[in-house]
Amino acid sequence: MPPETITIGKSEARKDGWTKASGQALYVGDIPIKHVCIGAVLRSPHHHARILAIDPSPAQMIPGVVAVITAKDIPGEKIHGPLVQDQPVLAMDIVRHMGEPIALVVTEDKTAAEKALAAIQVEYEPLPAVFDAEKALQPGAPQVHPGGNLLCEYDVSDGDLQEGFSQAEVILEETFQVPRISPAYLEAESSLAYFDEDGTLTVVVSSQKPFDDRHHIAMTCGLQDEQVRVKSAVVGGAFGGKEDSELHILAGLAAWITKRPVRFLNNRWESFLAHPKRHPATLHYKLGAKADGTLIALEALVHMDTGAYASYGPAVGGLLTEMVQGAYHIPNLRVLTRVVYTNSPYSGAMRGFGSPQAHFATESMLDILASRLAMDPLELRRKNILQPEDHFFTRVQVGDTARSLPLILAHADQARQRLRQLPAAPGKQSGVGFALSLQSMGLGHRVPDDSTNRLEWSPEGRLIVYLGSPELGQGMQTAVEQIAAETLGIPYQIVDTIDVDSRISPNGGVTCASRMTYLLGNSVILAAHKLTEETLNYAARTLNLPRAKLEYRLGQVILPDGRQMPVSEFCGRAAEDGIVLGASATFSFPYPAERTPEHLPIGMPHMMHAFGANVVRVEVDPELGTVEVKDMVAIHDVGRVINRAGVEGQVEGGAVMAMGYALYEDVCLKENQRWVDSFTEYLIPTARDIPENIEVILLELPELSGPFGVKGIAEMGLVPVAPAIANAVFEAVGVRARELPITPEKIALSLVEG
Amino acid sequence: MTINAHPELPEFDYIRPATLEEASRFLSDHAGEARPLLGGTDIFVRMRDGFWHDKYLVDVKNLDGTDNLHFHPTAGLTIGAGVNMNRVMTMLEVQQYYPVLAEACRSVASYQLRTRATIVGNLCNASPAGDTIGACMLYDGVLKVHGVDGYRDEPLKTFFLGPGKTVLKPGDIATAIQLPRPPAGSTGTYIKLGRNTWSDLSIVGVTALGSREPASASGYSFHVALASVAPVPLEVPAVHSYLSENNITPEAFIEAARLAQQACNPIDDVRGSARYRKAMVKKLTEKALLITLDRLEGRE
Repeated sequence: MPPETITIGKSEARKDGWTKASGQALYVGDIPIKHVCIGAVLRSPHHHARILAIDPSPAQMIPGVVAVITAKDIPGEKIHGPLVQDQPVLAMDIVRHMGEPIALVVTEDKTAAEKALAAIQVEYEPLPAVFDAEKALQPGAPQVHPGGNLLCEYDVSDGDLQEGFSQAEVILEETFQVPRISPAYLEAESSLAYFDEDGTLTVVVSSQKPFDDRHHIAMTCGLQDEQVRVKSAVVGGAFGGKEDSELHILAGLAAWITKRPVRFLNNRWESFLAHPKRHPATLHYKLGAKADGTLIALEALVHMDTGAYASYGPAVGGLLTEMVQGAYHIPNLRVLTRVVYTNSPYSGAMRGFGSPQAHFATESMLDILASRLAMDPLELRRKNILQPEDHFFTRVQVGDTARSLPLILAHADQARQRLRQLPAAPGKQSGVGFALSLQSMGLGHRVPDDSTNRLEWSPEGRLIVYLGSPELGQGMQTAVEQIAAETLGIPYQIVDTIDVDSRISPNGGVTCASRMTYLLGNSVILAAHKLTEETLNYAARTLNLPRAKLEYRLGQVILPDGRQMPVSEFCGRAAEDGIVLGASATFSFPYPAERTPEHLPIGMPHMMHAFGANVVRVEVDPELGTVEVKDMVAIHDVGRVINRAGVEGQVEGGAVMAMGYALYEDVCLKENQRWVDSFTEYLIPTARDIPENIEVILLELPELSGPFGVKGIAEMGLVPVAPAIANAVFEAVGVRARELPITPEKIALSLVEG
Repeated sequence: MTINAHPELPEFDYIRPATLEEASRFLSDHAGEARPLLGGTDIFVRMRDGFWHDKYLVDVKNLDGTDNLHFHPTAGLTIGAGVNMNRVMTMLEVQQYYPVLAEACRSVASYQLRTRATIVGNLCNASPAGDTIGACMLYDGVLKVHGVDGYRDEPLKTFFLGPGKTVLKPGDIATAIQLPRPPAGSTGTYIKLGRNTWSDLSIVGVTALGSREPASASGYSFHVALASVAPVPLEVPAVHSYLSENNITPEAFIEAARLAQQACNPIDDVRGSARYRKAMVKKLTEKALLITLDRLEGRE
């Protein structure tokens, strides 16, 4: 049992819960601002075309139009991109995907915006387009960028593949395909730019990385970073899809050029076409094993379609490569991953960041092998799970985190036995499947991976946390407040958080990569210790006592005679003296030199990992092919639970999101060469599709470097679910899904036609 | 290939006429730029997506009788154009005498949407996927239509011309759907196959209605209508003939299902391929007939 705590581990109520549930929270679209103009984007109707001419003048004549902006009007950098500078702010000579921005209109009302967009004259010369990563690499394929369609390639191996396969008694080859999916957050991308009371260009963003947005806005406008102020609005979900600055750059640019306040709200189809998706991929696996199930060798060739622009494609490719190994010891392993440009809407960061793709293939492959060897899939896994002394094929030692694996398997086995007892509804066939998962935390070696946050005592003795990274709705703020409260020994209720505002907040980096509770928590603990020290120094000066005679305990300063004075007394006094009792601290993700392999490309390897599993029971209608997920048990090692309700919510939310990946979602091209770009055709799970009960089992094997033992949780709840569903479908009706989503059609036709 | 330029619902004038005459006149005078509005669950989506560009939406709810929902023991059921689906499906007489219509309503989207969606709107929208159309057809529905020349009746059997196309002309307003009282004990089912449990549009929809019919050789009368597998909502008369003339056996249902499969002509789209739809028409027709028979025999 963990020791008694003040707040850690408790399901404290979220402080943003009430305003969100009651509709009072101010998202970008809700912020009241006088005389705000409408910003709208003219987007490419072509997948790939040369722009021969743009004539904005007919639009400029329309009453109510403040400005029409094209690439020519950009005062600063015309190209941007988070990792690779390949994306025009506004298209100049070429459009590379449907929905690419070509021009902006700033208008006083909606009608004028509509008319203006229709009035801009653009002359296109359509070009041949390519939508498939493998085809894009063939000779003669349409070239998306001058440097060729191969954006980057990872070739990582360990052991001797040839030797491995020569020892194998069974060799399997399979190809898996996963679709392009949308983060489908409630709030589409949005941005509001205006000039604040000091006349500073201010952009309120719905974003995972306001400080990076600021940099890109400043570059585009030809300004210095500090000439732009960014503020984080309440964010209506992000899931990786709000790591790209595109819309914030457009908003900042529009306001800077017109000197008017401008608001951009993407519609859903714009979100589908012009913001990042999860990468579609084809994964070809060759797996060698002994007849007893011992894994010997794996060779994986992966093609990822990153679409028209790189976005975070290179980093996703890197992590996908690392995740192919999953939770298993495979002595001879090679992964070759190619990240390829096409004329599809661009893909980038999305919850799991390559891991869901890799896991669908790896965990399906394991079940295929078990079936071939007539082994229990769980026993096959038990035989091959990583041990603490093992190394990943990146040569990072697995370490203590692997101790969770036998426990996870034991829970999974129990859940499986229990779910197998449940009868199927008449006419349905029941199947139970499961999958293990591996997920890393952090951005990877040699990528700046820090978090800076600030704590202050307010004059009335409340603790204020200045977050350096935005809360996205996932509950990080609550976790950080609990960690701060626990560290300082004060009630959670007297901790307040200030959202990111570049004028007053430290730069804490991007909210992403399952790293925030770990990183922020550590930073806040460091800051809390500094704050305690500062408080005691101030108390010593005020009381005219030596510092060494004072102690801090549970929000009280303990005097030499044992008397206690509440910190609030000193806070008030300090404020009168014009002193702020505050402290900032930076925590950097540890990449210890003695343990960190140096032979890999930038962003690799990741050093911290956690394991989990998902067990599902499905009922399949063998005639219609429909799949219902009836029961789900999620088992995850989170190191330490900070807020139980929050962690359970993350796991459940991830599981439900992954049901969409497994069963429904696909941003694909339709017969008419348009993308699926609305919820009429793009299905996401509804309350009626999800199981009534998702059981969440949380293991707490502490990470020694983590705050109170924390690992991470944001992504891994999603990772094992799609392969678990595929494996359950196989048990139910004997159909092996090698392709997501597993639609009724695929199952029914495969049952009919074999 | 164009993309809707504007990310929101375009502006339009909302017209609220005082009488049906006024409404018909306005719609006729503004042919091609005005459209009658009921629940708006399709109109607003189509307008937002840039498929429809009407300047005027003419609200015909609350006009003379359009809010009526009335059952008469001999004449049958009259559902006013403005009556929403939740109201229809919770009406006791609907559940008792028109259970298939109630079941079809229940399959439409969500409770919230059904507080706006109307049966008459579903009919006039003339989507081949319309969930309640099959039931209205099989219950021998007749639309009451008000045009510039006054009232007339339009039987549903000849109402649909193509996807979104009907016999209605500018100025025509469907004010109600009338369903005669069905034979005593008649029952059936609506089976909807979607990609998910409930909320998707149908890949295939099958409506079946049956009753005892002493005058037929089989002693039964069965009717089947199909959704999402042809340019129009499709009734399959061959099923009725076959099951009237042949003994009702599981084999006869298989043959009837094959006839339904033969009659349909689906397309490929995001929800499913023509091949899958054809296969499912057969499965679901057989299933719907079996359920109908079970219900007729009181086995369910």
